[in-house]
Amino acid sequence: MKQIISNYIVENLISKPDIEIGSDDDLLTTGLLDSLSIMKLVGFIEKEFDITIPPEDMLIENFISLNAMHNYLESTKNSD
Amino acid sequence: MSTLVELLYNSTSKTPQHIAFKCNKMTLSYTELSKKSTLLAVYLVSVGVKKGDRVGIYLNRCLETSFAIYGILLSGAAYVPLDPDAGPERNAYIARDCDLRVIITSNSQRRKFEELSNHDTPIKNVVGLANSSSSVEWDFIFQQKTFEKTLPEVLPSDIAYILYTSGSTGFPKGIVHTHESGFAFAKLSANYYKISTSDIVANHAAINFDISTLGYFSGVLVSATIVIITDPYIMLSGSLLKLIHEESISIWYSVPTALINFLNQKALDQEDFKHLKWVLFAGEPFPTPKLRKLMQHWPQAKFSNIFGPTEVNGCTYLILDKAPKTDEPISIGKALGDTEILIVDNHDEEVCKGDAGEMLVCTVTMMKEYWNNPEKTASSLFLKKDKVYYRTGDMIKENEDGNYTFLGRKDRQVKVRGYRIELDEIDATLWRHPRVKEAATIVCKGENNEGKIVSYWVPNERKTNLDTSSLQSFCIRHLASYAIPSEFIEQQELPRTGRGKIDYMKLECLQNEEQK
Repeated sequence: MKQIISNYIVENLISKPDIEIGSDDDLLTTGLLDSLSIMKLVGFIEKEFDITIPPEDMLIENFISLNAMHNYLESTKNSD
Repeated sequence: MSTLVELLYNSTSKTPQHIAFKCNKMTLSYTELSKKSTLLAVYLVSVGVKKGDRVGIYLNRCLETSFAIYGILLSGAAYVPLDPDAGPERNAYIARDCDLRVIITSNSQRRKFEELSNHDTPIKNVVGLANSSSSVEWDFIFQQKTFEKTLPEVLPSDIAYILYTSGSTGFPKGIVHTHESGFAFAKLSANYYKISTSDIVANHAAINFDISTLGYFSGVLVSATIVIITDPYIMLSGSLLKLIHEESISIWYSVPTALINFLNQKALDQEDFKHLKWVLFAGEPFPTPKLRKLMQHWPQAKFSNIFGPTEVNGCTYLILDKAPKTDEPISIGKALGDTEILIVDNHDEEVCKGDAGEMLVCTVTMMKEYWNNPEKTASSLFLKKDKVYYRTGDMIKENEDGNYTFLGRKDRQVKVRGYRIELDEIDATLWRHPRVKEAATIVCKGENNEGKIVSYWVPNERKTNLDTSSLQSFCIRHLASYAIPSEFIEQQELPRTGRGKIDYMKLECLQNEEQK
């Protein structure tokens, strides 16, 4: 799951193939992602994993890093 | 008192222990802000920064911006924010254009800063990167013992900051403000909104956007506490809404988009927003149906539309005590302070009251010039009876009640098949559609080189099955037949410039690519 998201970010959102994203890297503060790319990423995750992310889940703690997204997506699975 | 450095001196002596800036969990009292700023200024002077020089700031939204700005001002130089969201080419251009030899940055910007360093720039000194042979660390600055180096006296006529905006030529243009014009706006806005020491001002805008001057200058003028909102909050509106509640924000100022994004958050009803006194917005029109909705959620807050290009800081304002009743666009209100407004036709003749024309503005909050661009400066000014007016390029008209209505940008007025069309009017119409969150209309070349109107739109909810024919019939009901867009393109979000405004140029590029 993390790999899929990481590939998407590297290939489609920052288009710099030489960048490697660590699981705990802060994606939001370092300028890797901006508002537009966050929206694209959410759209991608919804399609790829066939879920709906409600607006109230658009929180820093759910999207700050690959690990955070992984944990969040796991938690949505469990609550189903 | 009439310079921006005096704001800091004054508040430091009046309220030394009061918190000046807050960012994430970190705080700076006025004394700490003053000390850090002074030490930075001492360092800048020691590396040769002189009065009238320009010093760059390459920072995202963070605590360091506060003492970077005041440190540069205390050194006698003007600060020039680079845009962390823009590519290195644009920032390198800005660095060359105003000869930035010193740059203030931080570790979080390291990767981007290195990209910038690969370009041709005059940068010689860097402050803020750790473990870098070419940079001085913040710790070094703050441990300097020498206070003896005297800082230059700063005068109201000295340049204070240069904000770069997109130029129609494709190169950014630098808007130069002096201490006098910056101070005048800080004082006006602090007075109009009665900002005081007990206020907590949310600073949403990045420092390359003039909206940030309300926090950094008006806030400091009255010794308020300014909360610098960091980038992750800007991107995720769920967290941002919580922050307003948790930090007991009393004064909010941003572009409308940031506020519109709150509307689909459930927390809007759950959280307590009783501290919010003022919700100020500027930068582009706030679609009235969304504004009304938000005002109904926050009935205790007063809302205000501040209007004016970066060149004049602000020139009109409208205060809304109650939510607007109809979906008509709200007005931009009346002149701010002693601002004088003329409305002229294409021959610079004043129009009759009620007629549309270009807005010309004469105010103490006006810029000094465009940096390094006397032709552009000259062509943007209009002289009448010894007074200098700035040509805003905005089309307005005066209403019966004395308020002004914004009609659109002069350059967003186009001719398609011989008909004059206001693209902004099409946007405003689409905004009224209940399922449209945002819309942006452009004209591109269609078949036989004829103009083709294309509207990009963002649905209210991300998953919608709105048929574009519904948008079309909506437009048919509300617009002249020649102004109906021939294409509607759904987007998840509209491209925006670094300052949060809709990036029409980018949309035009998108459209041109699609047609190839």
